[in-house]
Amino acid sequence: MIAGYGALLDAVRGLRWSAPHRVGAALPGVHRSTQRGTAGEFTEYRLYRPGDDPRALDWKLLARSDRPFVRLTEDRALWSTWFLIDASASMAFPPDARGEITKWDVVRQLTVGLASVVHQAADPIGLLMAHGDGTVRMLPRTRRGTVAEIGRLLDGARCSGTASLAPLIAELPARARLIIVTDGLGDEVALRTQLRPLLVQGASVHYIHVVAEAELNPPAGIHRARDLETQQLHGVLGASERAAYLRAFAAFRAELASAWRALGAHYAMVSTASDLPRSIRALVTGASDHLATDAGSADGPQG
Amino acid sequence: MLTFAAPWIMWLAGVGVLALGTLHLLSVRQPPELLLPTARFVPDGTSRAVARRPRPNDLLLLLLRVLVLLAAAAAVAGTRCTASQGHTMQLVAYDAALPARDTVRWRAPIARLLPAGNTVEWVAVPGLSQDPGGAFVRALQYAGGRVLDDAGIDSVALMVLVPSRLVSRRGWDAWRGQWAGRVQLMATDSLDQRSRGSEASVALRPMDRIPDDVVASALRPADTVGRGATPSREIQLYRQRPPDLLAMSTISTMRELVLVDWPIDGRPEGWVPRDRFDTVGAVVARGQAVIGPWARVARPGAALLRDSAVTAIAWWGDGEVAAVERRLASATGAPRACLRSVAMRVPAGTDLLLGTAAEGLRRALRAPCGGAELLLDALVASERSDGDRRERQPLLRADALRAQAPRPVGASPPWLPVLLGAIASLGLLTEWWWRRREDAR
Repeated sequence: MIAGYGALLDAVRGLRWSAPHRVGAALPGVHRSTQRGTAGEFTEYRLYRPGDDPRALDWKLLARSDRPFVRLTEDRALWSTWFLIDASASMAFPPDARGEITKWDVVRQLTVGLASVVHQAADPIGLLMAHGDGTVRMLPRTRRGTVAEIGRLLDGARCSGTASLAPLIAELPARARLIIVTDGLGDEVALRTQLRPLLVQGASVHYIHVVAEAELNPPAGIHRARDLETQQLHGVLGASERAAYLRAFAAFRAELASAWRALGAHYAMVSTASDLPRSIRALVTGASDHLATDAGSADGPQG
Repeated sequence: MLTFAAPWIMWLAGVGVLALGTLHLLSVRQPPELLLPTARFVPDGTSRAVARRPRPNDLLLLLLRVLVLLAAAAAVAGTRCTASQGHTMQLVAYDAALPARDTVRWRAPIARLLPAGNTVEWVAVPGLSQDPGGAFVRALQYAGGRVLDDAGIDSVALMVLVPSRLVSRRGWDAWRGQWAGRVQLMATDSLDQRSRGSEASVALRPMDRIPDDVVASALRPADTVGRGATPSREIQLYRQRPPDLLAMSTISTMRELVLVDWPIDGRPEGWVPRDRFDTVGAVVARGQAVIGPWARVARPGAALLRDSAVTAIAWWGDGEVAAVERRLASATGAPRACLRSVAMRVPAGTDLLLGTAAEGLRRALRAPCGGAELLLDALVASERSDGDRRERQPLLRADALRAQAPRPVGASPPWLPVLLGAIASLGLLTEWWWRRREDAR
């Protein structure tokens, strides 16, 4: 058990994250395969057709019914899971946490937790992490210690610069589970554009939108807002501007959720105040989709 | 009480304080920055006008900055710290020729006359008994130095000790305008409990019977002594014979005896006849000149001029002595006496000695021995009328004296600028720390 994540891993132990559809033929695994064979779990009988493997005939049924039937079974296969992590400077918010949870803390916890769930099914796990200094890559692996390796990579990363996730899509396979963990403030349009072909080819995309409580509920008073990533100075955030900001940010979140769902991806919003084990459970069980109606509200945090 | 060697620096600091307060309270503050990844959703608008209502911290910061500015200015302006309450310095001017025992004896009665709380300082003035005008000169010199040394002095009062009779008031009239405050005149005679005589109790006694003597007519006082009254001064006029000085001891009732030896031929005893003499000339006495057919037939002898008891009281127009006074030694109990010798031959029938031009000569011959004839009362009266007319302030302001003097350089005490500079530096450090704390918040 890797240090710092013990409680989370205990909370998600036993969860199973099945593929939402039949996966393509691959190494044997836990997910239903699109290929049907003679080994594995019996599913149905089919009338014999010329060309079928005679070894699949059910002789007992033939003896009883004088009609040839072939015994069909369901194959299970492995399904790769890729984590696409946004490690840009905006993820290290709030900057002077002083005990507060940052968005990056949420990213680490979510990623390790989900990786642990995937690893329990012996599925390969790969990771691409983009930050200002470059990209960290971990090719899919199933060996023991994969989750710990992911934890070490995340703990050692430093959020900096502006990270572009769209170019990394080209490195991902078409038939895999893609888990994108980001705050949605990067190249979203390009990312969706790059993902569209993969989705058509059968990829399962989970978009996890990480927001901070301080973004959902900025501190009171009058401040000049400066972008953490670009250092650009924006308007004054005072009492009168606060409502407009909340409306605009809520509209952005709603638009983001709508766009990803329209693309065929799963959208979930997790805040720094969310219960992470519960959020992971919701993501795995698919309940996070039903929380999408709350993603567009100005009250935030969900998950 | 604080005073400054360069008060204009403090005035500049005051202007700076006003400007600082105005800027502080009216300036627009930039709001603190907030790092926010979602800053793009903040509506664009003015980032200048934030708050015009000053926070309590702003007022404290303003007070701190005002303190720094004033302390720095005071450190540079040469601050002098003195006793908070000013006091009046009382000057008492007295004749430097007076015996020390007299001035010591007078201190107690004068102290009783002066207001309590005043610091009394005695100033010796040469020639004060002749003309009190010198008191103003000396008092201005003395007070000008004292007010610079002692910043606690805020006003100066002047008392002048003068005898009842003065020789001249020219100096007094000339210098009176230099002293802006009132002056208290105190007669030394009253301090010694002597009585002053009246100018009216003067009698003329011609010792020679000369009918229609114009000289006797000229010397006769305007007010005659009443029958039976005893004059305080008797003028004995000798025209035909010199006075018998040995017989003066028999006269015991007069306070003062003036012997005028004015021979008809114009040659008093002790004078040297001239070989050649003028018949027309001008005689000057007491600042007045009388021109007439006066024959200058004699000049003072060398012995007369060397006599220390002899003083000239009248002169010819060319400066030669025309009349002298010799103080006569008097025994205990005998009146004060003097002999005045006049070397002028006055032609008969002239009345020029009765005119206004000869007033100076007449006064010089009728004056008390020693020449002092002006009474203190006249001076006091003129002082009172001037005070009423000009509405003078009671006391001379010390600031007026300080304004005339070169400004003192440096601060008092010497360590005060260092302390003020340290206060200013500490204030700057405090402000720096305060602003850092505000920025970090």
